[in-house]
Amino acid sequence: MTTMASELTGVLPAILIAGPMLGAAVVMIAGRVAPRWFDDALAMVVALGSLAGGCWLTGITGGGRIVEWIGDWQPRHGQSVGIVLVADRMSAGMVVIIAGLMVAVLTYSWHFLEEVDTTYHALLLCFLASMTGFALAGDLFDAFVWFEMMGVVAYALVGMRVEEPRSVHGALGFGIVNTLGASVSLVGVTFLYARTGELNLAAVGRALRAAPTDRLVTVACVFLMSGVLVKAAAVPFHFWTADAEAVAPTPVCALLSGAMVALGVFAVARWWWVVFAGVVDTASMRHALVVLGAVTAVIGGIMCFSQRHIKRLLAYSTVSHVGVFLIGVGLLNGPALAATGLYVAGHACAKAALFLGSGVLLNRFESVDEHELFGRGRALPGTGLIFAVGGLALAGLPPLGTWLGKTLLEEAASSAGATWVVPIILAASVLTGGAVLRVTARVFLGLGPRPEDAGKSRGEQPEAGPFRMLQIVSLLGPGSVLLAASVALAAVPAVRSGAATAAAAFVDTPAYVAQVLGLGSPGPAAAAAEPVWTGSGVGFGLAAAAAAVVVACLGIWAGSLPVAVRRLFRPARVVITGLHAVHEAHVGEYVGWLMVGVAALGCALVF
Amino acid sequence: MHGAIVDVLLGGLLVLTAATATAVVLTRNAGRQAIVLSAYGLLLGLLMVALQAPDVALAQLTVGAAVVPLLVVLAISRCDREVVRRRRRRRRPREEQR
Amino acid sequence: MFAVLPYLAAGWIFLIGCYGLATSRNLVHAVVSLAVVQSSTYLLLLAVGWKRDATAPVFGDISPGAPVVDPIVQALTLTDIVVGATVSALLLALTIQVAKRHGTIDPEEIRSLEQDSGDDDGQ
Repeated sequence: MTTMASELTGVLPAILIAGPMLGAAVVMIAGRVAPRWFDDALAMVVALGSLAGGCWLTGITGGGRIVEWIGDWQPRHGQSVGIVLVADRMSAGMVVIIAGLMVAVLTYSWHFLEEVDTTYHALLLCFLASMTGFALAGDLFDAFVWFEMMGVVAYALVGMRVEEPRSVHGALGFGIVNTLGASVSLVGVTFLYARTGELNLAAVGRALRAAPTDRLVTVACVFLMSGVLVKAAAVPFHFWTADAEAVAPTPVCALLSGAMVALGVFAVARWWWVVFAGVVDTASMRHALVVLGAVTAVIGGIMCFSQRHIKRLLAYSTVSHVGVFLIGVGLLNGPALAATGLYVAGHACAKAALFLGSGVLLNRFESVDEHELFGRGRALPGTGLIFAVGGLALAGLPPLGTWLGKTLLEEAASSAGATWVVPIILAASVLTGGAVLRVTARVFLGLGPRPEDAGKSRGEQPEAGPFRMLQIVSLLGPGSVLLAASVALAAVPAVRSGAATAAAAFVDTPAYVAQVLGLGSPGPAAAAAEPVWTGSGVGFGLAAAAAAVVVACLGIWAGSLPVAVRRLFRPARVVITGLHAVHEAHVGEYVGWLMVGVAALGCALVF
Repeated sequence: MHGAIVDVLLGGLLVLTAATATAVVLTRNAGRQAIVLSAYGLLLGLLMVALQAPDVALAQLTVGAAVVPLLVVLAISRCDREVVRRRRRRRRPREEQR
Repeated sequence: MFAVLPYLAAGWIFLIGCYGLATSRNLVHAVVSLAVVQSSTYLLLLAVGWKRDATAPVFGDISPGAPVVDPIVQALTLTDIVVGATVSALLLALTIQVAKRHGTIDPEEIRSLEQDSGDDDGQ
C-alpha cells in the first residue's frame, strides 16, 4: 500500500498534466454525440481531480520537492538528457489556485454560457493542462512550449464568442503581443543554451554559477524575464490586458486575471532563484523588479480608478496588483516571497469572484457600464455583496487573504530596508479597492448624483438567457465560495506556516539543484520562521479599507465638492488624460511599448 | 579551399535570407507579401540545409514555404471578400435614402 | 567576423519583423511580420548548434566519432516551427473574423470604429 502510494506520488506531476489533456481529448471526441451535461460533468471531474491532486502535492512536498523524470531518464552523475517535472510547495500551490479557479469557472459556466459547444470545455481543460505544465516545468524549453500553448489556448478562449465584434480584435492583439513575448523568451533560452549546453533549469543554473560572469547571460536574463513579464501584464507590457479582458467571456477573464498573470510572476521568481541568483547582479535585479512593480502598481491603479467599463476596470486592477506581486518577488528574499504567495492566492480569489460578479451584471442587464447600470443593481443584493466584499478584499481589509499577504509583504519590505514601497502598495490597494467600491455604491446602492447617460443600453451582447432560481446558485455560488476561501487563507494558521516553508524551499537554490540532478540528499529543509501578523498590521488594513471607502466616495461625489477643492484635483486629471491617451493605441504601438520595456529592463540590468 | 567555398556560400545565403526577410516586412500589399513570404521560407529552408539541418529544412520547406503562405493567401481572399461585402452593406442604406 | 554573421542575420530579422509589426496598417501583414520574428529564432537556434566542418547529425553513413552539429537545437527548431505555424494559423483565423465583424483589417480604422460605437474609457 505504501509503495503504491509513493509510486503514485512519483508520477503525480505528469498525471496532473496528462489528465486534463486526456479529458480534453475525450470531450472533443465524445462531445459530438454526448449531451452538454456530459461535457460539464467530465470537465468538472477532471478539474476536481486536479484540485485534489494539487492539494495532495502541496501537502506532501513540504520543504522538499517531487522530481519526476519523464520516461525515467534519470540523471547520471548529475548529467541528464531527460525532461523533468519539479513540484515544490510553491508550484503545487499554483496548481491549487489554477484548478480551484477552474472548478469555480466550470460551475459558473454551467448556466452562464448556455450556448457554447464542446470546444469550450476542451479548451478550458487544455488551459488547465498547460498552466499546470508551466508551473511544474523544470526545463527551459519545456516552459517555453507550455508558455506558447497556454497562450494559444487563451487566444482561442478570448476570441471564442465570435459573434461579438470587439472580442476577436481583443484576442488578436493579445495573441500578437503574447507570441512576440514568447519569441523574446525563446531568444533568452537560446542564449542560455549557447553558454551552458543545458536546458534543464537546475543544470543551467549550476553551469552558470561555475563559469565566470558573462554579459551574455545578463542579456539572456533580460530576454527571458521580458517574455514572462508580457504574460504577467507588467507595465509597459500590459497593453493587451484590458483589451483582452474587456471582450473575453467573463469566466475566461477570471482565469486570465486570477491564474495566468500570476504564472508570469511565478516564472520570474523561479528562473531568478534557480538560474540567475548569484550570476546576475542581485542589487540591480532587485532595483529593476521593485521599480517596475511600483510603476505597474501606480499606473494600473490610476487606470483602474478612471474606468467606467467594469471589466476593463477589473483588468487594470489586475495590472495594479501584478505590480504588488512584482514588488514582493523583487525584494528577492524568502519572507517577502511567502507573503507574495499568500497575496497571489488571496488576489486570485477576490478577482475571480469580482469577474464572476460582473458576469452576472452582463447576464442580467446586458451591460457592464458603471454609469448605465446606475441603481439598477438594487435587484441583485447577492451580487452586490460579492462586489462589496471583493472591493474590500482588493483594499486589503482584515481578515481577508489579500490583507494577510499585504501586511506580511509590508513587514518584509520594511525589514529589507525598502520602506518606500509601502505607500505604493497602499496606493494600489486603495485605488483598486476604491474603484470597485465606487462601482458597488453606484450600481447596487444608487448612491450619488445620477449620471447623464444612466440607463441607456450600450449594446453588450447578453451571454445568457433570463434568470432562473437554479442559475442564481450556479452564478453566485462560486464567487461566494472563493471569498470564503480568501477568509480561510487568513484564518487558518497552517496556511501561513505552509507558505513560509514553501518560500524557504523555493529560495534554497543549492537544495533545488541537488535534488533535481540527484546529487546526494539535499540535507534538511531550511527552517522558516512562521510569519506572524501584528496588531498594527490589522490597524493598517482597517485604515486602508477606510481610505478605499473615502476614495470611492470622492469618486462619486467629486462633482459636488466646492470649486476650490476640485481645483486641487486638476493635476490628477491631466495625468489621467495623458495615461488614457497612451492607452488609446493599436497593436503596432503595443509592440513598440514592448520593445521599450525590453530596452529599459536591459539598461537596468546590464549597466 | 573547400572550407572557403562553404563559407562564401553560407555567408551569401545568410545575407540573402536577411534581405528577403526585410522585403517580406516592407511589402505592404498583403497579396504580394504572401509570395515574398514563400520565397523567404524557401531561402530559410536552403539556409538550414547549409547549416547541416536537413530534417529541419524539410519541415521548414513544407510549413514555411508552402503551408503558411497558402494560409496567408486564403486569409487574404476571405478578408477581402468580407471587407467588400461589409462596404456594400454600409453603402446601401445611404443609397436608399436618396 | 564570419562566426557572428548568423547571429547578426538572426538579430536583423528579429528587429525588422518587430519594425513591421509596429508600423503595420494591415492585420494580415502584422501576422506575417510576427511569423518573420519567429523565424529569426529558428536561425538563432541553428546558429548556436552550428560548427564549422561538422556534418549533419545523421549517423547512417558517418562514423560515430565524426564531428557533427548539435542535434538538440535542431529538435528545438523543429518544435518551434510547428508552434509558430499553429500560432500563425490561429491568428489568421482570428483576422478573418475581424474582417467579418468590422469590415476592415486596418488596426487604426478598427480603433476608431470601436470608439464611435461608444467604447470610451473616460469617466
